[in-house]
Amino acid sequence: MKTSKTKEIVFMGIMTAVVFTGQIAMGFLPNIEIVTLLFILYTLFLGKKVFLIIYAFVLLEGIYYGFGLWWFNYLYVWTILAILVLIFRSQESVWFWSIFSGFFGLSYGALCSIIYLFIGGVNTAFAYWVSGLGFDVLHCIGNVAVCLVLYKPLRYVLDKCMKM
Amino acid sequence: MKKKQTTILAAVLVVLCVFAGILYLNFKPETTAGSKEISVKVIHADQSEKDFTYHTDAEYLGEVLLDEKLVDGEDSEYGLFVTTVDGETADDSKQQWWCLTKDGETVNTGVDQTPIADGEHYELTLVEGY
Repeated sequence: MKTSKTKEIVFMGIMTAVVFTGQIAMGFLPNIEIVTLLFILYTLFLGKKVFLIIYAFVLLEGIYYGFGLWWFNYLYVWTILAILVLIFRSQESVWFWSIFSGFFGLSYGALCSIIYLFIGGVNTAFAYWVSGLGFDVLHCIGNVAVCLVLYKPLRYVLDKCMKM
Repeated sequence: MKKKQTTILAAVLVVLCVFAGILYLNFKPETTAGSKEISVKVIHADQSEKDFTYHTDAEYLGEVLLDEKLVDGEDSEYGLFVTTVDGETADDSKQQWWCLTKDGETVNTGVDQTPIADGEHYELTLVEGY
């Protein structure tokens, strides 16, 4: 029992390192990222325990890039993603999760603009959202493509790791 | 049935992408073409100030600042990340960074996403602490 718990903690540490490294490695690509897919898979495998990885990842991002306004977006954006994945966790189709991650990419700017509602009001939030819509569309296409290509191989690897 | 639902979801996503594209083209920040005069105040770490005035046809602030060699920086996923202004480079170890403001108000876009218009005043201040 103790061994299993230790193994789980080690796995979660590795999963956090993978998502953090993946974000940095793909950071130079405009809105093409692997974080969404990894958090979808982590949630499918770990359930509610994924929140521990999410907040560890967000903390690491803050330490690495500095704690700017974007950091507060990260606090709730990935949480919302995980909650939605938990709701739809019975789905297994790669197409479903690809489209799901596309929706998330397209709405990413809208989710991030929520914070500007409180800082500058509706006009500021709307201006922020609209000025980034081009990137959101790119984010959507990127997420669908990344998920279509990597969902099955990554799921296979995670499955093998969990059974170790 | 599941296949049909997925197809419908995909169709909705495509329609939303097209709608987002149209919305972006209609509401994106507008630029002003033609000759413009803008001024940029640089506030260094030692609080010394330097004023620069530029006449330009550029549409975005980043183009002017780079053309005039006032700034230098690195390309990031959010556009140009300014690291050096007027010969002074922000020191990461001191958590220094160049803050862009317009008439003292925070600008929510990067230098190469900030459209410029005639008569605008910008400030670039070297600040410490993230």
